[in-house]
Amino acid sequence: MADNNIDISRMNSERKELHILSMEQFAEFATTLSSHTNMDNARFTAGIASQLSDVRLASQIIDELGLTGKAVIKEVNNRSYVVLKGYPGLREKLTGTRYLASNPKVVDLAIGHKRVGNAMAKGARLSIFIAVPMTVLQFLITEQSTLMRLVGTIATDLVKIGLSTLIASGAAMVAGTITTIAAGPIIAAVGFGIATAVTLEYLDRTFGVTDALVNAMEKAKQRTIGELARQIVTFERNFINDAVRRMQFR
Amino acid sequence: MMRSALKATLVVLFEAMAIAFAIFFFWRVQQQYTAIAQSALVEMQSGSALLLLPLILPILHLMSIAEARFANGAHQAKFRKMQSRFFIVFVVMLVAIGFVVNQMVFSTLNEQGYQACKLVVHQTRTTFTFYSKDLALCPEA
Repeated sequence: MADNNIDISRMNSERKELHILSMEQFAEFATTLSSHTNMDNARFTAGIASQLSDVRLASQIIDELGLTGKAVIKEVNNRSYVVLKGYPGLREKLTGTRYLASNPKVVDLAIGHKRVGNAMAKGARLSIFIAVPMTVLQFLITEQSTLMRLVGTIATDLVKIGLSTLIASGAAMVAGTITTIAAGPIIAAVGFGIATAVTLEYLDRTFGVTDALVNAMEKAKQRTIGELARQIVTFERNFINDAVRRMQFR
Repeated sequence: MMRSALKATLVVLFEAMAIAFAIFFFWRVQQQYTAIAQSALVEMQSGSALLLLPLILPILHLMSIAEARFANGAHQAKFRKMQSRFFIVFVVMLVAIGFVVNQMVFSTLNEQGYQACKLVVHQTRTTFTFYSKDLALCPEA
């Protein structure tokens, strides 16, 4: 009985809605959506969500510690501490001089390169969670597009987001080792993240990586599923022809 | 020993990468000027002005080296104050240089009579806009 109650409350807390549309309704929805919104801009905004969240984080650190506020990570008895320099009275949230690195206030502000790395990963997840559904929606309402293009675009987008996050986290780590400026790692991460994203998009456009992937997948599909479909059609045709021939002989 | 060698390698790698991004930015600008001089169609990418931002890493490194060398004794407080100002100036300068250089390319485009084409290629994190002297030359979707 108790278990049933738990399940019901869990179901209520994780309620999901499913809307089923007929083809006509979907066509109407797609027309309305594409006439009222610019899906390209929406997808672009979704794509830069991780950068926007990094910039927000950087501005939070700068607000709290100033652009050149200093923070040093010290290991004492296998525990990491964040030691903040400067006058604590001028700070709003971090009013102490020393915090455990796991302190929620320090974690929230992503001070230290490890925390910046975590924040970067969170930002990348946010970008993926928004950009992928946007891409799917855009492809659903675009008439001239194939499933392979959708898969190819999502695959290269994920690689690009992953690579720029990796490089941004690396930059934060390097900045954390060479400077004590608290905002240094996050500013370096923002800079490298944006530069990598812009460069990867340029390389993709110039060398046609997404197009090449889509073409390769189309060819692979033709060689496997397409070939199988052709074989089935040929078999069906031969089977029908045989049956017709037998009927004629009778 | 191994850890410090790895750290030094990573620092060198990322600083080289920052310089490479800056070179890429100026190469793109030079490429755009060449296209303006030779071609009727020029492609502009959004966000390229921010390619100079990674240079913040070598600047941070230089600042920390300078601090270790020169900030001692009575000069320490004065040096740190000066360093703070320099850091702010450098961050603002890197962003400003990128935008000013990009703006210079756009004003050259306008002076030469280029107009923006209707076709804008949207990628996930950047957009490519075509500019042409003759709108009939604009690429189709």
